[in-house]
Amino acid sequence: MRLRQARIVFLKEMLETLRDKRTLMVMILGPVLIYPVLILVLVTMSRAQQGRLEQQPSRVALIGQAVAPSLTDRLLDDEHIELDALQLGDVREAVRTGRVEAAVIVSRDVETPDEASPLLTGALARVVVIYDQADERSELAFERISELLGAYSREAVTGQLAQLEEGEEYAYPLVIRRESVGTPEAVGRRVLGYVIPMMLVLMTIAGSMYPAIDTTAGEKERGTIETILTTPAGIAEIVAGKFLTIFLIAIATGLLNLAGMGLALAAIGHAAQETINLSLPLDAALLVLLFLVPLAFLFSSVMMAVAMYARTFKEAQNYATPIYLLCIIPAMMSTLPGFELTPFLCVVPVVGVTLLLKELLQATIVWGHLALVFISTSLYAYGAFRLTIRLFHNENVLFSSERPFALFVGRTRLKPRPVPTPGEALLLAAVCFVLFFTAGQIVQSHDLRVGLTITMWGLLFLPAVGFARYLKLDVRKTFALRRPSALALVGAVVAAVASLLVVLEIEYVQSKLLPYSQELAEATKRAFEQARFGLVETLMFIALFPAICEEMLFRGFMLSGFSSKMRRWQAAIIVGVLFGFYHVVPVAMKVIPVSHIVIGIVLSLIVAYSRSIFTGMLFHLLYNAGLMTLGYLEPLLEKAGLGGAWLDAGGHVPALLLVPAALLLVGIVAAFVVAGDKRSRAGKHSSA
Amino acid sequence: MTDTGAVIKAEGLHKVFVDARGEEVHAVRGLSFEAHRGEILGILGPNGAGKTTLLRMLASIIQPTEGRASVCGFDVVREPDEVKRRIGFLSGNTKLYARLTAAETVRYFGRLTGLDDETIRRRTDSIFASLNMETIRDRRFEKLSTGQKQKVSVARTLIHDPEVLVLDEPTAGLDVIASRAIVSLIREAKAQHKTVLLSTHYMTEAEELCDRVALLHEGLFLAVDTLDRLVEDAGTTSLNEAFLRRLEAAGVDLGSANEEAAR
Repeated sequence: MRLRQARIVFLKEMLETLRDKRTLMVMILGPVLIYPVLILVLVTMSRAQQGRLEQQPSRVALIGQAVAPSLTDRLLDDEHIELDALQLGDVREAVRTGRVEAAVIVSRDVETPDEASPLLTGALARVVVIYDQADERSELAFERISELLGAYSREAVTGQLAQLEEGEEYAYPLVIRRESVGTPEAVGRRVLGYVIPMMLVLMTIAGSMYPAIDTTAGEKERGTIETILTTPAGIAEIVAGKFLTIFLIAIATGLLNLAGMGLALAAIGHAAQETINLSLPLDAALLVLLFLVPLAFLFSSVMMAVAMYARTFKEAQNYATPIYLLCIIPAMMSTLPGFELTPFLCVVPVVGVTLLLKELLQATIVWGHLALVFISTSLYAYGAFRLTIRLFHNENVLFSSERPFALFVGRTRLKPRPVPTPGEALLLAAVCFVLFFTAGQIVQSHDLRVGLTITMWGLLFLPAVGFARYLKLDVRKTFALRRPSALALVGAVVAAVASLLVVLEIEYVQSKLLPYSQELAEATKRAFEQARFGLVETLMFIALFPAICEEMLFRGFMLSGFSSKMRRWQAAIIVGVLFGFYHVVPVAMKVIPVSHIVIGIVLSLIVAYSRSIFTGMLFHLLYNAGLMTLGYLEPLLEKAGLGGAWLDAGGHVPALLLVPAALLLVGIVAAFVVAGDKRSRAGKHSSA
Repeated sequence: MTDTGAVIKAEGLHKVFVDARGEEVHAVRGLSFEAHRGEILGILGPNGAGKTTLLRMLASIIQPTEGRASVCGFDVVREPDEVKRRIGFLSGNTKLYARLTAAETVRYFGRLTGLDDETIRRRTDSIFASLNMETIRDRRFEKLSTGQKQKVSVARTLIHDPEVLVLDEPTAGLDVIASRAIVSLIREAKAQHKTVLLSTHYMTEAEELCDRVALLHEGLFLAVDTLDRLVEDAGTTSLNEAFLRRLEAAGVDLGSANEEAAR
């Protein structure tokens, strides 16, 4: 990269961006002026309103004055309560309509004999307080009455104890006093940990959005993109210059927001300094700034890549807004109590950074998390950056006046084509993942048999085939519906058996390093026990259906989609990883699904190089069936005293089995790759 | 490719685009031609003929699918930087930055072409004086009139004193006064022995300026020759009629084409 040219582009972009009033509004006016003022005004108004409410007396109806004359006197004496006379039948309606804010009904408890309560001189009374939880005045009235009744009750007890010549400890043996070791600073950091990460993430993405759109889609719309391409500035230099501008604006927006929010929070916290200190400590601020860098890097790259697809500013806003909305959910995770970082969450985009920022602010840093989040976020950001450079090289993206996605073109105008694009494959994966994790979980929780059938066929198979039909794709090529050779089928069978042993060892090692969610394992086991699945049913639902439906989605649509724009092994790795993460059930997010990723990659390689989905289906069927059969046989073996007989004393798969199985698996996959490459070369040669 | 002293050389240039529907569009189909020093070569053709695609390939903005081309001896695919340093590219699509002033715009493009600040200052003064742009030097592009904007575009195109001018319908949509700046630019370039590639669908413009004309239709050259020869061969009195004759000879149903155009 020629740095001089990147610097020239950067300086020009900065100059233009800083002359743009809209950017300045988002970057400076919002955080520096509007948010702090807004927060201060809201808090001041809320305090003033609270003060006003507290000065006004609550109108309360009292029923049963004759039963509780002294309580009536206490209520009459209280300056914050105004008593109102009402009939018993009218009180609920009166509270509901706001005529009174609460009602107190006192009645003698006829079921409790007087002698059972030797402490009381009178009879035990039951008090019902009626109020409206939806009305804040009514709630305040309830709080006042509760306080008064509590004090009254305690005084009554104390008085009666005095008559009996007993001390208070007779009735109240425990005296509870709250004492928090949390310093005001620590309490403040807890609160900051909830608020700041969310705001910082949202503001950084908002800060990157406008300049990203302006410098890409905006330039396309204004016709300046072609002008810069006429100069010797290379694509990498142009992208770097633009990216650096977006990145700095995003950082500046994040920083100014942090400063604005910090000032506003400090001002609010000033009033309650004895219990909470909301000023941001310098060490935490510095660490937060450190993580602002990969965060801004990620958002700038993603926003730039997304906006690059659009032809106009407005179209780019349409593409970028869902990304922004999508980030709100992970950004809000910092505000959920008890949601903490795990190794898996560290690598989930945005979620990892958000929760890490919370850790940093709350001074509960785990250095491993810090490294994992920094590395993963930087990798995602770099990936998005590379994608943007690729898009800048794409003449269709730069100059086409057509909509960038076939999905938006309209089916009647679509022409038949062989396979989907990687974008379409990703879109289908996203839709199927959402369906699987939402609708799939719901239907399975009602009835496992029906639920699994609907999930597999309705939420995976049908969307894949339906989308292919909609896009007018060649179904045979998209889903690799070719007859495999007998040798490929034999290879798939042997590979499936070998992978069973390899996976068992991976699972064992992983369970030791990163324990699985026992909760999930138990829940799954219970669901199967409740459904009373026999072996045949288990094989059908857990082996046959996934072998067909998951293969059609992953090794069919997705693999052909990714293979259309990259090498087969690259596509296989991407599909394998997606396949792995598809097997992460939400509650088990504590682990990275290593074994499923391995199996996903092996399956994808076998299908990609054999060019037949049937080899994948056979492998998948045998692999799942093998796992299920082992699970089914386990209790029987244990009964016969042979539980885990084929594992060694440490619980590992014996090396005598594991090593040949692993070598066999690698050898078979390599054979598929070599044979596939050879066939491709032969095909090219003959067509040439 | 043998060296014939040509400044621009194209051999079998072919460009295929794949649209969002997966359909292949052959925008340019195996074009070969040469343009020489001091020559104005006109590329004539209706909308969608492939003019812009051809010029973008020659300016190294996009890459040919097949074939090769060179500008001043530099390959458009392998040496795009050298090609771009020698070309001044101006088209209806090459707009400028609204929030930069005229001087900032010209300085920006000068720097990207590799000029030092002193050279940029000197050349800017000279170009601004010759185009009568002194009064708009420090005004933002967004505040300028259409004619003044076109002058800034011309100044941007000339700042690095290119050997070749590639002009893609540079007068499209301009009024008579604004068009004069472009016509003057082309004449000035010819006087300085620069090579000019001028794409247009205004026949009168071609007749007025071009030494030779290439007639382009659906990505193919129907003819490449001098104006006189084209008119003479077609047995007509104007370039417009000669072009229509060539289209008919190529089997184009002009009646259907007109209806299509009307739709």
